[in-house]
Amino acid sequence: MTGGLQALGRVAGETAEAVAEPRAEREIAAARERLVGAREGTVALGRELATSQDQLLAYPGDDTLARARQRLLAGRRRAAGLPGFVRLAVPLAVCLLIAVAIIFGLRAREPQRAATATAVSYLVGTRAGTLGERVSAFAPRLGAAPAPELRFSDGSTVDLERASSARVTALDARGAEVDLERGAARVFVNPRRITRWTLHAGPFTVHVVGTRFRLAWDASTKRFSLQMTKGKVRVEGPTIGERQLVAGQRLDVDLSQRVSRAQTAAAKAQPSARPLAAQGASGRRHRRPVRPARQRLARTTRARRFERVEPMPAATPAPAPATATPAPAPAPARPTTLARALQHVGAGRFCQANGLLDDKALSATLAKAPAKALLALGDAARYCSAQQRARTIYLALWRRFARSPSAAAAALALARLSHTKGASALQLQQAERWLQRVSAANGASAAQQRIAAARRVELAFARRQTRRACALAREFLARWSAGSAARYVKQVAVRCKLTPERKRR
Amino acid sequence: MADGVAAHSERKKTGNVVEIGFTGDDAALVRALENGHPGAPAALFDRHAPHVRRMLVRLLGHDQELADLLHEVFARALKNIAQLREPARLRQWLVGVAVHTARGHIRARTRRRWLRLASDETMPEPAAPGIDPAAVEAMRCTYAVLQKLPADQRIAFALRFIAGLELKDVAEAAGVSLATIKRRLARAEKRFVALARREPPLEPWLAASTRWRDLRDDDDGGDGGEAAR
Repeated sequence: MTGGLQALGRVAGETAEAVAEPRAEREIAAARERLVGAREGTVALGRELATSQDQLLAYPGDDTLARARQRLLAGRRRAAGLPGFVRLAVPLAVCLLIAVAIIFGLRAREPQRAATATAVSYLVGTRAGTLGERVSAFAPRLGAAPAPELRFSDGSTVDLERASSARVTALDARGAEVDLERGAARVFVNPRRITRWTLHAGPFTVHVVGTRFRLAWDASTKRFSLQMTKGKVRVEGPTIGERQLVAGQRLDVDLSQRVSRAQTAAAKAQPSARPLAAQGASGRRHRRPVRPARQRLARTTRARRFERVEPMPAATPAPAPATATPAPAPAPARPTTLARALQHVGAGRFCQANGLLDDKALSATLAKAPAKALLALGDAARYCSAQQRARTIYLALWRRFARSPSAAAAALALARLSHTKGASALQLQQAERWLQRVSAANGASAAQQRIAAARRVELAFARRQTRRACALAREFLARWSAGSAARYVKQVAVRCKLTPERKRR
Repeated sequence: MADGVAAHSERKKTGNVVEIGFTGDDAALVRALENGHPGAPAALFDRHAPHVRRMLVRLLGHDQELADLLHEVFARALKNIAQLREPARLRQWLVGVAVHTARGHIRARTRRRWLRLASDETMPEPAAPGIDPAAVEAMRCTYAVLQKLPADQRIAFALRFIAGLELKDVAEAAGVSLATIKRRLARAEKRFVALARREPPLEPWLAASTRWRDLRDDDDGGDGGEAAR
């Protein structure tokens, strides 16, 4: 092979020399003959190419050398070899690239400029508002001042309704963060290019760019309501995950019943579609409307259905309808009273069931009634807002039926009773202890353990223990990666990551 | 040294212009260039331009910008003549400058092609009497294939297999070590064979070559190191 290449070299050299001298035509022909004779693969191709090139170079019409020599000796520079359209295209392309770079650069700097720009400020009525200040609208009374309106320098407004309070927790050039502690507010966010508004209502977060809506949160009943007038928002919160709402839609969430309901404008006219929080936060102490037993039963059934699909089911199952709940064996002390009470529970008449048992009857029941009956009575007391009575029943259940699924259900319910909006640190700590007791060692089922673990994540988040919440969430997801509770925990984990960032900002 | 140069100079009167000629070997020519002898650039060009042009043609095929490239090679050479350490090896040094210029030209053309500011089509070879059309077609296909190789590999292949330089001369012209040029050649040949398969005019050459047939059968599996031998 090497010999072949060397032969190619020899022949090419001979050919080149032959071309260099005008008289070498005969030698070129001879070299070509030798080439043809030695044609073999690499060598042959190389030789053939070299020969052909040399012949072309020897062509009398080729003035390459003359032109190059003339230009060199004249000291002229090499002429531009690009055709006209290329000479035009290159500057155009450069201009285009510069324009694109400028546009992208400006867009990239937009957030920085927003960050360094003057932050939005606001007025409460006529005076300047300060960051973190609580703004309250008192209950209506004769001669009371009108409810304050928060007017922001970017043109946005937050109009608090009666018996509402809110706090502006952050202000920057893009917008503000407002925490609606209770009550309702009509919000208008002026849309701008860099707008970023966030409203918190209990555990719910509403992300806004530019829109008009009404937001309500009742801490006592844990009812959240969002009614859209214009634009689009994104809502995050327990039981709903993340949801987008557009103009004409309304979202009602009742955390105490674990019920969420999204409606469009068509359902607005229905009486039941009235915002839930508007009922509880309108300044007066509203009594709950008396519903027929069938309606309440349907509501309970809806809650039960919700428990199966939503991330954070109730700690204990709500009482089943009368047709589905077998009447437990009556207690020996007052069998008829307990049976009747359980019938009321089955029919959804929780307060009636609660009122049927006086303290003496309750003591006897707590001592002798079966676990299922105690659980039903505890739930009835809880649904009737008799928190202390419910706590007593659950405690009895926990003590009497230790290390059983019923006891675990009682522990979950006790944790829930301690974990309420506005609960003190001590109460939250108690809730945490009850949740820790829901373990396999104490007879809890796998489902109960899963619910308790998810609730611990929720509780840590409520206690603003972000790192702990994240750690618990990781533990949870390592054990249960799928399921409704897992979906909720994943959302919480995301919020945990976002929270420190928000604080830094 | 100026006297020496003068001793090797001769005056040639053509009309009103007096052309100062230059005679002497390459070393003297280099000295004359360094001393600014007025006839040295012409002597340099007349003496070495045919060889440089031939090398450019080997490297690039017939290019419409050949005259420009040739001018550029000599313009660079005149500008950088002081960098030549061994005046006796002027021709090899000029080949190195030509390789450098050709590499820049290949890369510029690749950029233009990438930007779609110039046509992709291979330049048609000029028609010349007495040249086998099959050879012209093979030449076109060969350079079309070489166009798909990286500039360094293409240069190594052209210098070795078309220009027929020895390995050390190829390495010197490319400005790299012998080991590097061997590796480049191996890669270039392997890739050339793989791409040449798709060109029917090159098929007879591939079929006739046991070496290339082996490379083709290996399906790029060998190291192709034989190219360097």
